[in-house]
Amino acid sequence: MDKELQELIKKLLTEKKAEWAIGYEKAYDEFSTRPAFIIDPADTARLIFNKYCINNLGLYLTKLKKNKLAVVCKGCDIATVFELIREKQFKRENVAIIGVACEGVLDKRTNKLLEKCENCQVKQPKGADFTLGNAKNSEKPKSYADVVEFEKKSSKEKLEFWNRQFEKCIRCYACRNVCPVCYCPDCFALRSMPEYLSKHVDADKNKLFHMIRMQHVFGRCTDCKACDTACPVNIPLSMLTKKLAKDAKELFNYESGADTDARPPLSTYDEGDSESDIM
Amino acid sequence: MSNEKKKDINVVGFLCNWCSYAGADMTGLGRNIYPSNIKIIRIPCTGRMDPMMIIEAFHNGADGVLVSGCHPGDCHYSEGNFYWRRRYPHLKSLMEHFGIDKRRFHASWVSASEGKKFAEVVKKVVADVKDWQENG
Amino acid sequence: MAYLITKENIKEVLNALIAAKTVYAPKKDAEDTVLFEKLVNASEWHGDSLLTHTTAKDKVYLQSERFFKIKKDKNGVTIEDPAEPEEIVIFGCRPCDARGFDVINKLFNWSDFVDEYYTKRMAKTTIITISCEKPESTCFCTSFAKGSPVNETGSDLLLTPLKDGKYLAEAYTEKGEKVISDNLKYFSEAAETEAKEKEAFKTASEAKIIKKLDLAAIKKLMEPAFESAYWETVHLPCVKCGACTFVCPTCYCFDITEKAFDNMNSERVRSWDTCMSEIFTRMAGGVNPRSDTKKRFRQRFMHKFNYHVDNFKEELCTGCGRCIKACPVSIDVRKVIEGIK
Repeated sequence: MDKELQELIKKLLTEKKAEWAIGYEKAYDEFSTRPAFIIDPADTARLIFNKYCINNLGLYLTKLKKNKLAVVCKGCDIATVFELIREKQFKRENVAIIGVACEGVLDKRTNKLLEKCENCQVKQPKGADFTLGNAKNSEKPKSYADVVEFEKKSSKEKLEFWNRQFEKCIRCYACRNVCPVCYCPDCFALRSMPEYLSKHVDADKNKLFHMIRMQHVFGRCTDCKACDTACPVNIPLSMLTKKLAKDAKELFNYESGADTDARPPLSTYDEGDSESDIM
Repeated sequence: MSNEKKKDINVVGFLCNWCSYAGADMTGLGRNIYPSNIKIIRIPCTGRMDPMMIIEAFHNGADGVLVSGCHPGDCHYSEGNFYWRRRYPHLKSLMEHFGIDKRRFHASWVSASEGKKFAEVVKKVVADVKDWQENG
Repeated sequence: MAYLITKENIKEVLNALIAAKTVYAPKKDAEDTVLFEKLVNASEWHGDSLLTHTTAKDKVYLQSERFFKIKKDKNGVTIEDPAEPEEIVIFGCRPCDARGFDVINKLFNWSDFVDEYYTKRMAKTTIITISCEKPESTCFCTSFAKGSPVNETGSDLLLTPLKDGKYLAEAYTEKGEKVISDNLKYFSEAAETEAKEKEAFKTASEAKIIKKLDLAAIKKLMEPAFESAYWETVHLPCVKCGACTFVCPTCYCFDITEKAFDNMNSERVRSWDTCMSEIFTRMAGGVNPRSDTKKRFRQRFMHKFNYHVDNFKEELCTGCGRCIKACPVSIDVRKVIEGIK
């Protein structure tokens, strides 16, 4: 597939259908890849795609939105691109989506298949401008079993679990910065007037950061797991993003990244919304 | 001081300016008795209720949070409380996931004339928070 | 004087140390994260991983260190100093981690300035290092003048694994000697042959580190490369998070903030900061000399391999390779500085 990919990108760049192309290249060893930015059509030979291409390249679209871009996307990354288009970060015609069939990606830390890839519905990408390769989608639907299991715990147990996790947090903001939908130019975490979050790092403040971030990405997070895989201390953030996806589905029957014209659940309302829990 | 205060339960109440805040006034005017554990913060509308402020309240040691606004359809800004009605279940569910017990976070509709209802709501919230503190 | 000790006896020594002091050693948790954490029993020590996910730096140079608390009441203003640091032992770090302490020691004692918060804590810290048997693909310590999988710089006691599960124990400071003399019954004297065995270990271990950089040549290239077009493209993948700086054994940048809790209480805290963050250089009024990713990205490498060498005659890097592993987009420091033109 690498050859096809290189040829396609070369073609797009020579025909000026894209000014920049974003793909993957080999990083420091055979188990790692990193994003590659291609401007020169003669430079495409370093592009690859394999099971270590873990990054969500949709991330770079908001950073380079001035250019006409071509971006290599796994099926799951396309949801991110659609979500960003829905948020009017760039126009659909300015981005050429190159969908690549994917049999799942491996976590470079553990060398195991990512949990999200097990029941993947988009191994064969949907909605791309160009599609390369063939893969068979999983027959089983996305499983929320681990979140449901976690929800059964008492609030005390949950609190203990998260306190331990956020004790590890070094607040490097890798989770925020790799998040494609966390593109605010002025994040609340860095604001000093008013100061929501001081630079003082402790488990409590780290938790505050993660709570607010999770709430900010609700209805926008496509559960791409970029934050989870980026965490240098392995905090299971997917336990949170998956919960967001589950809530959006259960409470508002909404799936982010599915429709570029949809209204996200919290920026709209319905007069018949349930209010069973409100006194 | 009432007996309630010795238990030292702190509930932060975010009340909308147009209905619930006036409703809380009405509670006093009507001489309805309710626990003094609630500390009231006036907000323009429940639609303005930034979830960050609720998270911040819990972070700074609040035992409970109550957000109260106009009945659906009565919003001074026509639709603010409809937005809140969507935000609330999501926020509650997320907070529960983080380990903040569901008994600590409540929402209610109290109109300017429902002084009696406000007293009932506060009693229920304080009882719930107490239940959480005592029974875990 | 070199000694020999078995792996079982190391655990005994560790238990003896735990009884007397606070011991931090690599510990593995449910998410497979290996971090330096406080041990209550030697059995918790996880010695199989080469590197921990974060360094032991935060045990001496705290991520958030309170300088003082200010309290105002009827009697006036009182300033509460932090408690005296306790005696700690950092057990099982690697030569690159230990050398990181040596690098920042110099920084926090630069010419006539002494950082007392750091220095006081460092004086009460014993560092016990274990030589690396299996360097990984991200390791490049041999590129540095003092770097080696068996280097002792910064360590008080160095343990080198030899054949038959035995370790060669060498003390380099008084603190290291004290660990041996306090637990002498677990150690036995080493012979000449064992010193030779260590040499063989060193050769074998160094051979596993494939990448060796010519840092002197790189520095020469770096000096005129400040305005180079190279930086325009190389920074593109960087997401400007601070993972690389926070897991680095030598990154030391910090920010001092003051916080008032109410009218009566406030505190001054020093916290780690990262040059990758956009607010790192943002001044009051909004001027930011390093406003874009390119400038911040360039700063990180220029500081480590150019400016710091000018000031201290050594690089601000020990070649542990943690930044490469922690980077969410796998940016390789070796490739970045090698490619400078």
